[in-house]
Amino acid sequence: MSLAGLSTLRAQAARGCGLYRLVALAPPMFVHLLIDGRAALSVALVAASIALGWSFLFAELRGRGLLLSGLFPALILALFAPPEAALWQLALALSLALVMGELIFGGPGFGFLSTGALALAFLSFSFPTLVPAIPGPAVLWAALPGAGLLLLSGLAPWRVVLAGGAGFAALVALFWSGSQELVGPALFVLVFLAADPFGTPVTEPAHWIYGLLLGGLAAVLGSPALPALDMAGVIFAVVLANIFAPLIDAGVIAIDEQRARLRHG
Amino acid sequence: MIAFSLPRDIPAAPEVVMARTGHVALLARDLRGLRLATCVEEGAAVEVGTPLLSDRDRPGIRVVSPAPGRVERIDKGYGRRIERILIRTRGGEAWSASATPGNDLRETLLAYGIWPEFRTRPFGRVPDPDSRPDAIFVDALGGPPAASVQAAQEQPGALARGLSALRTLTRGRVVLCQDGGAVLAAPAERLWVETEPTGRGGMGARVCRGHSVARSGEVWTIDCQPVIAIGRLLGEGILDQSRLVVIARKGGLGRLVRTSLGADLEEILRKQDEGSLLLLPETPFEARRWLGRFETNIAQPAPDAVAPRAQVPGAIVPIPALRAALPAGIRAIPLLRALSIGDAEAARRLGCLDLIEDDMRAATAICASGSDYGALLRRVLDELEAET
Repeated sequence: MSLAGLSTLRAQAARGCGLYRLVALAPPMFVHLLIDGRAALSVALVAASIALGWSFLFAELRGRGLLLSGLFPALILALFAPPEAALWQLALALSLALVMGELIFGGPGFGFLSTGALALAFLSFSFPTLVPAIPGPAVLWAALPGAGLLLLSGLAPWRVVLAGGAGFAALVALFWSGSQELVGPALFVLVFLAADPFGTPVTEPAHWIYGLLLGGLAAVLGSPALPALDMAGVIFAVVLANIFAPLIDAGVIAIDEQRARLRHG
Repeated sequence: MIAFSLPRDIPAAPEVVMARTGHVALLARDLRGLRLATCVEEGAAVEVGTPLLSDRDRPGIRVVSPAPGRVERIDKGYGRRIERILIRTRGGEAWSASATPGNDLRETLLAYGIWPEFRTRPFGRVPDPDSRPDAIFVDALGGPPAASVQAAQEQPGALARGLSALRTLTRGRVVLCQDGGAVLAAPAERLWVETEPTGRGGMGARVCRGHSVARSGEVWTIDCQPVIAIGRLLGEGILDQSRLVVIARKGGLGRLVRTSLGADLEEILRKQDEGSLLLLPETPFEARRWLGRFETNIAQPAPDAVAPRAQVPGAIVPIPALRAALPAGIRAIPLLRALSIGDAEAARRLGCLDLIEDDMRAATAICASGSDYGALLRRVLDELEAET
């Protein structure tokens, strides 16, 4: 891609946010449907209809246009849904996440949590026997182009992904034994869940701090079950880090201000 | 305001076309901070340099006619506030006048109506005649294709004289800001030339980096072309308010047109048979018809700028391109959030005093929320100015 094309892509990422993120999730979703067949299809259809239904209802209530962004957490939930979960359980978790996580704040982008992670967190909190499943290697490979799109367009801040990966890898290697099988799921979670544009901090130094915090939390909460990653712990780490994101931003801005005051007297 | 975006990689064609329009109009929206009073009646004959408007509180600040002709109409808005003064021009005469500059530069600039070319930061007002800024920033940004740079290359002597004279107005330095390219004027004592491109944020970035006024102080900005006019006024004794503007064509070379302040853009573009594609559709027609005091690039709007503005602002998607639309020293997303909820105090702490409306164009074009950040910033600046 030419440099001009890349800068156009980045400049239009804000307007195309919902679309870009759906396009990024389309290939892994497609592969997931191919592999898992009818069960996955019914989960995806239910999740998508729930998401569209809530978005439509709130769009009517608030007099705004229908927003497709709700489909992103629906697809995330469909990808991570544990096979033993009943459809109503998924529908409940997704509804809670959509309504409590973004729609009551005014819609996608007004909340402060990654809605996809929140849906999975609601699922594992409400039904402790259900642990989000790690997508298979084929799905993870198919997610690679989408991850590239999100990183290139800037919708997933690369600093978060880098710092998160580094923090996670360092802690896992130090206290547990890392294995190559962790790389795929960890990256997928980092790019698609943790580096959610609306759940991350908005200043650049805060991206590094948030990433390290997230990586550390994910290692601490998700690793005890190694060699397999405990997804419930990892998802909880994402939501926990999301909650701290505004605080980290506020800290960065306060430090900026302090420095400016020292400089100007 | 018209959305101008000059394609950076397309050099302007070198030949300069002269365009004198049948009407010129001076707009009150370019004269922020002045309470205008008319100096002429409708129907009066005016020459280049005839005072048309002055400030009620500081009568020294005058706006003069850029062209010879007759005052056709003085448009007033709410509270009989003057909005526009329209002049039917006379052909067949030179659009310049001889002038005899005095010893005091301030008096000269006030008398010949060049004073309103200065804008203060913070707040973007016409400066007070008695104030002394901490620095003066001269805008020659845009790289070699920009109209100011072309004008400076035409008349390097006048630019040097003008820059040198500006030093008497400030206690600090005069900074000529360029986006790369050859140095337009030789640096001297208290005269700096910055050619290193900042790449983002325009004059806001230069002020932010060179002499931030976010906490205290005042700097002035002025475009390069009025500085050339000051140089000609002092050196040759000629008052000339003509402007070089670049008219960008779709996918082709931009064209240079020398015209006058307040020129009728519609007439210029209609002559070139390009009018339909060049003017933004949704701005009110009258608002985009006349060449504003601070506009030098006329181009078809960037595709983003045409997107309909939302009735209810949407969410701000924090992407790097949006961050890059504002100067590097400013935390862009927190500032945009503060502006969109009208939190003047937070916006001040985040450095909004370094910025004026013009710096927000890129952010407005990129942001998905549909907010007009220029207008939001103006509201916050007005509030902050009222507090001081």
